[in-house]
Amino acid sequence: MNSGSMRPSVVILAGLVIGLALGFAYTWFYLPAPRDQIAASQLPAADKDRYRALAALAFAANGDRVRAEARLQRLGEDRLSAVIDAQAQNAAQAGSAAEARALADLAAALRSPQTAGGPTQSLPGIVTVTTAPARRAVTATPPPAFLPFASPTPPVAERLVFRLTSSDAVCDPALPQGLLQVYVVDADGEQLPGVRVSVTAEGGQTDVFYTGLAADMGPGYADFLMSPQARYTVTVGDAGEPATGILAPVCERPGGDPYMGGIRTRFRP
Amino acid sequence: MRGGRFLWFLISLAIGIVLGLAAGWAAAPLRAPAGAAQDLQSPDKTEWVLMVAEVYAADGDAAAAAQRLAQLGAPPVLRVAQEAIINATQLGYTQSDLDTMARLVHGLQSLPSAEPQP
Repeated sequence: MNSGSMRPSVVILAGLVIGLALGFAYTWFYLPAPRDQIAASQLPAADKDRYRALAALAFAANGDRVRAEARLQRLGEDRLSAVIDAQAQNAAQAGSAAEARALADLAAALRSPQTAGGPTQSLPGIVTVTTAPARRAVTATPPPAFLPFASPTPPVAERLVFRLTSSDAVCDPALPQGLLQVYVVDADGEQLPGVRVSVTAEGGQTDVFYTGLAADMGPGYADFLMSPQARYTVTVGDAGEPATGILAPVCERPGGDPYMGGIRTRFRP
Repeated sequence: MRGGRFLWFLISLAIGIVLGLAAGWAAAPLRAPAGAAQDLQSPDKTEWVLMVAEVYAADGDAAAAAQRLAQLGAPPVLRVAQEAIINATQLGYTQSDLDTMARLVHGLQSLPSAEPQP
């Protein structure tokens, strides 16, 4: 085709169309527009979950509640402890035990009133824990200085040998049938949050959950729904003595109808 | 006369390219996923890296740290951590925090996949 025979409008239109195609293709394939940077509060839900989990793991590592709280405030969420409680429960159900424990500890720490120790004092190489620990202290010994590169040691509560001190049948039709209630307390009777509870059915299936995830029931509370006629073994903490033969009782309604009741248990070192 | 048409062709081509570039950039958000961790602004990204470094300081698991850093974007995780140290310096983080991140970088260097690409 001879451009000399083309009308000016066709030439201009052809130039525009070709230019548009070239420009669009270039940006599409080679030069994408820079994406806007976003704040942590604008993260999608999945990334917010990752951020919270990371904040909890960092809190488990350094015990710095002030810093953990400041980090979580970047997400711009209300009712922090409730959100983290829910995430801890999800993590426990997904089998992420360490993450669930860290989240439960962080939620418990956020719920507890701040100690007068003030924010963590940071020194090069050494971080000294001066804020409240995630779990309540079970001895009068103050929390030790935390060496960032020391090998991790299990939290105090996890090293205690918890034993079953009471087990009571609960016949309350208002409660879910087969409800196993677990209360974990320290030597002084104070409830302990974030303690691992494992329940193993006769068939061998084990469920793991943590105390303190039901905020309205107390920091040392956890529960589990038992199946009818199944016997369970409950172990609290990493070194706890297994409580065997736990079986949901048969209760009677006022009219005489039987139903599966629950059990209230209490564990302490 | 032919030279005049060619000139108009070039001018319209240039205008078309500019419009095409603008249209391509305008359409970019439509094909890009919603903002995610890799789009975090610098202070939040730096805090993310510091959290990873603190966890690494406690558990010494460089592979897990690399996995957590990989959520921040496509560049090699080692570079992500190095950039975070630079940003942390500018943002006034303490020497202790910088040391913690530096040790993370040191740990990441033991991972072959964390080597920065040339």
